[in-house]
Amino acid sequence: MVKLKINNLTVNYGNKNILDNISITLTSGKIYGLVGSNGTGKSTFIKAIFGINKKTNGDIFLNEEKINKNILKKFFSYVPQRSEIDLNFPINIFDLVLMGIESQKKILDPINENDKNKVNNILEKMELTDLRNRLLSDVSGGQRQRALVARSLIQDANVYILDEPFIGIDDKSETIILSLLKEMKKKNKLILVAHHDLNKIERYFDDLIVFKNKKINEQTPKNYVAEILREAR
Amino acid sequence: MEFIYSLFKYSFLQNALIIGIIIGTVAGLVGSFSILQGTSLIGDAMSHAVLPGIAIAFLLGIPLYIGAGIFGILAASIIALITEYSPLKSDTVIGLTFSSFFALGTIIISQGHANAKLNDILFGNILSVSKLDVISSLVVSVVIFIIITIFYRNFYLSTFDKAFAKSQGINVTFYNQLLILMLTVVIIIALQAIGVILVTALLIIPPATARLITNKFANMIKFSMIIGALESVCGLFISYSFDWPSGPSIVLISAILFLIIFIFYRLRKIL
Repeated sequence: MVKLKINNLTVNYGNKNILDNISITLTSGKIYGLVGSNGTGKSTFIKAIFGINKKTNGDIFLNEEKINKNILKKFFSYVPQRSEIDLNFPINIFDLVLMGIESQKKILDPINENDKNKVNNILEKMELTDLRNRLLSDVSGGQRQRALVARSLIQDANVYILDEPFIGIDDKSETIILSLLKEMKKKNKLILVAHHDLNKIERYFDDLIVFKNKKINEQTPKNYVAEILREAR
Repeated sequence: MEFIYSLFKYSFLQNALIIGIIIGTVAGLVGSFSILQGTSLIGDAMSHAVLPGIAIAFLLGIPLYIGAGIFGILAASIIALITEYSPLKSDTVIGLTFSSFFALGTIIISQGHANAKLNDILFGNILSVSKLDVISSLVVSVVIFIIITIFYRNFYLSTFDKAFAKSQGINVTFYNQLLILMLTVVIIIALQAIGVILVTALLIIPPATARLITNKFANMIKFSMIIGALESVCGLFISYSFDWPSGPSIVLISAILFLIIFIFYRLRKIL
């Protein structure tokens, strides 16, 4: 079992406080939804875990071990928001997914047949085989999202963190991504997914981390939806 | 034919040809990363900012790259300082700094009665390149080539997807700064041949041309290096044959090739 423990995490941007002293422990074998309206700090939370943005205070532990660059590289995998990707970059779908393996290789360690087979396997699962030579800019948003998720799932991590993967994609892409995430859940991985839309929350997630007023709390999807609907009335 | 005959006869022409190939290749390599990162205009700013250094070095009779290096670092530090301690955006600060440095350089040249040399500094004189220039350019280029080859994956990931690269433990800021440092070094070794005003073209046009030829990053780098070298050689040939200044000849050839490739690129998309 994998346990991710966040202890007293605070993140400020300049003078602005985004996350204020939050603590939570998450366990594997679940798909957690990070929910809350825009600007409540979901992406900030994710980026603080990966050290992409500096945290002001607090510690993060994986199975009681404080995380550092090596632990992040070995046990964590990240899917950034699709909108952050540079579409003018000359890269095709195959090479994008291969990047997941390349980033974990030692310097000058070449790509071998086994690596290529792994890429082909996951492309097949994602139903992207026919698009493998297509440029990233020449596929649909859903297909691009599937490729980004594939780049992450090809890494043998324990914790997978995805930033808004379900936004603006077609039903087919959604179904494929969800079924693969559920497959990872069965392998006892810990999966965190940022999501800002109330729609289908109960279908996607086992448990929720709700971001509100710089704080977080854990809630079941059912209760959260009921609460939001109550507030709307 | 006369060009080839002269090439065997004159060592200055041999030096020019070799340095043309070296800087064309290394600029094509570093430029491929910088055009995709959107940092090519930092190179432009840098090339203008080093002018006072070149002028002073020329007046003191010391190697030009020493003066250029000192003023390059000075300009970069001033840009970083003002950006940090003011609400201004970095492009404003870059523009402000490089134009001031360029103005200072021009005044130093005119006051030092080096106007005859000004043309060479601004537009390059590849035929004035010495054996020592060739050797130092070669050494610097080989070092850059080795660094990029060893750390290729880290440069590649940092250029394409910063957030993902950081999540994989890659120090993206370090690699980006290293790239800007290499960009500056390439500019300094290319200054004498191409001149202050146009040196950035060498870092922009060959990679931009290569980008239109291929959709694979690794191939783009290879094409960019080959195109850069070929354009330098062609430019030198034209410069020598028609007695045109070397920098503009190389840049013009590069621009014409880019235009031809662009037309084919559009035709392929439309047809």
